[in-house]
Amino acid sequence: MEGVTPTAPGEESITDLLVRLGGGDRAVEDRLYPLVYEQLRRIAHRRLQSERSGHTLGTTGLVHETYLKLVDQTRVEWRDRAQFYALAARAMRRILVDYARRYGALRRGGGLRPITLSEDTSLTERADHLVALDEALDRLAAMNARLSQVVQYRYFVGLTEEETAELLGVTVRTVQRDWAKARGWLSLELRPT
Amino acid sequence: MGASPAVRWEEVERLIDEALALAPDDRGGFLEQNRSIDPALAAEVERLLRAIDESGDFLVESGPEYAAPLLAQVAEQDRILPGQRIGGYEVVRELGQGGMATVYLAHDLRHDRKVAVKVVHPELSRGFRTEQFLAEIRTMARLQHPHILPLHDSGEVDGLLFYVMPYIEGDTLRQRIDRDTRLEPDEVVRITRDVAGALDSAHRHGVIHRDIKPENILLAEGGALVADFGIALAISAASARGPSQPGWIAGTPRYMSPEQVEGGALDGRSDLYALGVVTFEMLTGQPPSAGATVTAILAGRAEVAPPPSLRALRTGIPPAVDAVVAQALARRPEDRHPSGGEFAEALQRSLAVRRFSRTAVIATAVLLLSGAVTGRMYYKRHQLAALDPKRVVIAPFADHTGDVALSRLGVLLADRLASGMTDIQLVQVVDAGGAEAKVREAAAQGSGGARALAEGLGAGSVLWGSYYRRGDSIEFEAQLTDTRSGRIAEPIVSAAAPVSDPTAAVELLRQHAMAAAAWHFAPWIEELENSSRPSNYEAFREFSAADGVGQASWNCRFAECGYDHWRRAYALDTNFVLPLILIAGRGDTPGGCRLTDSIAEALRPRHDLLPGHDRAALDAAVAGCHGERRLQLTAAEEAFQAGGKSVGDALDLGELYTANGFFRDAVAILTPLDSATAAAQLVITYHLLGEYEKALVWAQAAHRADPDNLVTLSCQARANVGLGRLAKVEEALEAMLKASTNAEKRGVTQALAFSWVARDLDAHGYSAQARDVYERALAWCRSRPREEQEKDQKTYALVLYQAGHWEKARAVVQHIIATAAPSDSGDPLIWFRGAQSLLGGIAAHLGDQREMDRVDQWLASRKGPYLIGVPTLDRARMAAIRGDRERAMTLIRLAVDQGYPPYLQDLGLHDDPDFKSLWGYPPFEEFRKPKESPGGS
Repeated sequence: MEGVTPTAPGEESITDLLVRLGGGDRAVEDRLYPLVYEQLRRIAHRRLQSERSGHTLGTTGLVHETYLKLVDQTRVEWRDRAQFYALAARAMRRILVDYARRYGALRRGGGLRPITLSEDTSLTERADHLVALDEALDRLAAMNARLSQVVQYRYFVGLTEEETAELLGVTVRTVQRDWAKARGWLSLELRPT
Repeated sequence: MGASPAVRWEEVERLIDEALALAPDDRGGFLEQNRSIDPALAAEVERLLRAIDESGDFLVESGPEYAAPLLAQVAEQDRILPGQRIGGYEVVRELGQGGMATVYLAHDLRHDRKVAVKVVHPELSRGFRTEQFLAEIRTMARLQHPHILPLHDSGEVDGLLFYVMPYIEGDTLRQRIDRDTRLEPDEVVRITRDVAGALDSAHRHGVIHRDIKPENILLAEGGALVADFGIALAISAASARGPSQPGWIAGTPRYMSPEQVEGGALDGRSDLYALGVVTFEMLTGQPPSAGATVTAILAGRAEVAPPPSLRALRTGIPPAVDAVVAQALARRPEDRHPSGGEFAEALQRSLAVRRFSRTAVIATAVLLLSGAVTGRMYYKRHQLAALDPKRVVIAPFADHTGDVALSRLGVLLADRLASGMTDIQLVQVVDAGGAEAKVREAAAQGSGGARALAEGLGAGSVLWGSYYRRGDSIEFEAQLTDTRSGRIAEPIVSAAAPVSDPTAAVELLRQHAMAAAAWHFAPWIEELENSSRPSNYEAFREFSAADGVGQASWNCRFAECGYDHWRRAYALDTNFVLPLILIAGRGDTPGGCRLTDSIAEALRPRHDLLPGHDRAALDAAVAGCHGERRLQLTAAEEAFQAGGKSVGDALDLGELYTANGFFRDAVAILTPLDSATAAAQLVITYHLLGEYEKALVWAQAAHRADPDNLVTLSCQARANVGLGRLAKVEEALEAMLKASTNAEKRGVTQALAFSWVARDLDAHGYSAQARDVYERALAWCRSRPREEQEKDQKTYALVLYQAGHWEKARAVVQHIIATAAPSDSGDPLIWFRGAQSLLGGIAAHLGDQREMDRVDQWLASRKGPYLIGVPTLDRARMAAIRGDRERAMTLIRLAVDQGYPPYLQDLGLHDDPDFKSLWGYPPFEEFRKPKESPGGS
């Protein structure tokens, strides 16, 4: 019976992964990402159920709740936390785009109840915008991955310029320039033709 | 859209960076000054610069905010309204939302019944391989178990994946915990056992749940039901896009095992981990880490928080429960319980244990010795509910030497003790941040300050003491104190060394402290009072190592039982006699009894000085070996009392009561234990009492706790024989055939278990059925692979004998005698005696007077200790077979006088058909009547 070492469950292992990721172990990212995605998706789903009247997700609160749910706060440093936000950004992007695509499917008559014509047309616009943005970000990443990342951190999880700079290991000034360039380029890409 | 080729993009960016470095007003002229630039490039740069200027609030609103109304609309749209149909099911109303699916109450139109329909969230199932999902789900539909919620149907309609289950009235465990916070221990055990049974059954079919949590456990009238078996796997498999891109991890982090989080290979023990988390939550109202995290945040601590102790969150929980749950939550699967049944049983046992606090007398005496008690100790329990006894503060020792040169010794000692406590890996050393002296002072006085300090540190234990000079030596005294009560949790043997070499004393005390703390906190050490303890950490480790060698196993004899570890533990610390006592207690064979006697002989000079429990247990062992049954009972009772009524001692005593015919006493002591082992024993006891209904209830309880156990299954069959329910007997026999053999672990095979049932059938007048079952037992033997048959010739011979195949039985016995190597049967003597007894029985049945005489003389000439009347009983057997009732009765009485416990082997004389001629014979009936109490034998 030697070696019976009691341990805190789930969270502790996730925290371990995060700490290892922060320590440069990239292989754990593949493992950690689905966990972050899944948790974020569940929390988003729940918020939509409970706050339907407000129609708001509260980006910062949403990501932070996910973080609290998954991670043992006492063991992580800023660098680890930043890694978490990087993953959360990727996950959030995927979630929003999945919903947007689902909206498209509903509009085309999928699902049990097709969307009626009276539905808000701005929603269609939003859905199209998100799908287009997703595709454009892939193209942007092919040209300069960092620009795409800056958008991902700023836009999808609401990191500040300072936080983004820290996470990417560049100066705040660089982040500001990247953010400007990316927004400019994306606005051109997404401009209605 | 004109995405620029990447080669040029770098150029574009460089120029834009330069432009952006300028003040906005100067940018217009920037391109003018760079006339040399390629016009196409310049145009691109200009276009982008303009876009940057004009981008305004583009992407300023965050993505989630922007998407929220869209998401809400999708969620609303995908909500299924009452009256809508999904396949053949009409939705009545929504019952709830889970992470994976929404569940609806629906009407099954085809079968006209209520069902629960679960619809996988559509945004989740986008891109699912539908076929994969449905195929996985169909596999699960084959699972059948009373505590698994079955799957009726599954399918896909309009891109929605759904599956259908019976609708159960009742709460989910989640609702129950939310409402009541904590559940009563009885109920926790019931739910854990139900879920564990469901898991064990699924695991045997190779199905792992992967998402055990309170939401998936339904509390129905007939017990707990586990829902969503295999759904997690189905979702994971359906979302996978090839081996390099695994699917979503459908599980709930809070309940996930470490290996599931890590993506390692999973087996059933992963579910057991999750069940451990659920059990923790049922007992305390919160999952294990939530408490740790919250307190850690509030306290602003930076170190790893240990899992909170159950007892810290709920008072009145026996310490053993902490250990059992901690084992289920072990990080490595191999450290957890091997099956759900074993976890549930351990939990039940631990909750049923009566905890006796270490006597106040000892605690006070040691405290007085240390000269530290100045105030009255009292505490308010509720204020300290969050203290974790496994968090230990090490306080610097008080220096009473008056020697400045020795003043640094206390610091060195605290340092060495901290490393020692870390080494044992059972506690966490808390850094008091300079507050150690205050903690010590406060702990000594039991004042309010102790509570405040300890609470701040979350430390439930303080390790501290003092040191002083006595002549030319320096002495250390120490104890582990419970901060909460100020009492000694565990005394530590003091240490002394010459003043010239004080570090020797430091190292000695370190050893003592490690041993004491390990003994106190190790979850696998049962609470035992008035017993010896190791004062040396290596001795503790050896003692613990024996546990891993299967000392509890049925077949266990000598070295393979961990005796070597026990012997080494004693050799390392000769004051630690408990391991020797445990070896002595296993002397149920002549070889074992020789060992028992040699141990008693070795300890004789110290006998009267041994701790109360150990002395009584040794006395009982010796008396048992010599057939002094009255003495054995008295001593076993004394050990049970002195040891604080431990479960182990209670089981031993209960078995002893039954073996001697004190059935009511056995029932009284075994019933409250509520363990599988006790249940199995109670079946036999009630059977002997002729109370077959009760026997059946306990057989079922034993079976539930350990479904794969042939002994409990056969008990069930035998109780039904007593009740005349032959159809049920047949059912149990079928179940026995399906159970795994477990011969290694329990020493019981299907053939042996069948023969017990047959013997009972015979005893209750069903001789035709009995013959049939014997034949099936023999057929089972012959169906085994050759090498297995060779190994188990003894059972074959025995069943042949019982089935009445005398000639064949004789041939097999003679074959065994001729080929047996004396060394491979553990204890050759006992089998040789058994073989002679069989030959005698065969001769008696065949009417071979010469052979009978030979065997009878051989048995009568057996001399020496440890025979406890067994050869005499074998002689009685031959007389009974021949119908010589008077001689048989005389010999039975002689056997009992020589120490034979009438119910030694299982049911013993009760239903042995060899004694058939005595049934109804008044002296025999008088003899086998249940005894009133131990005083009356």
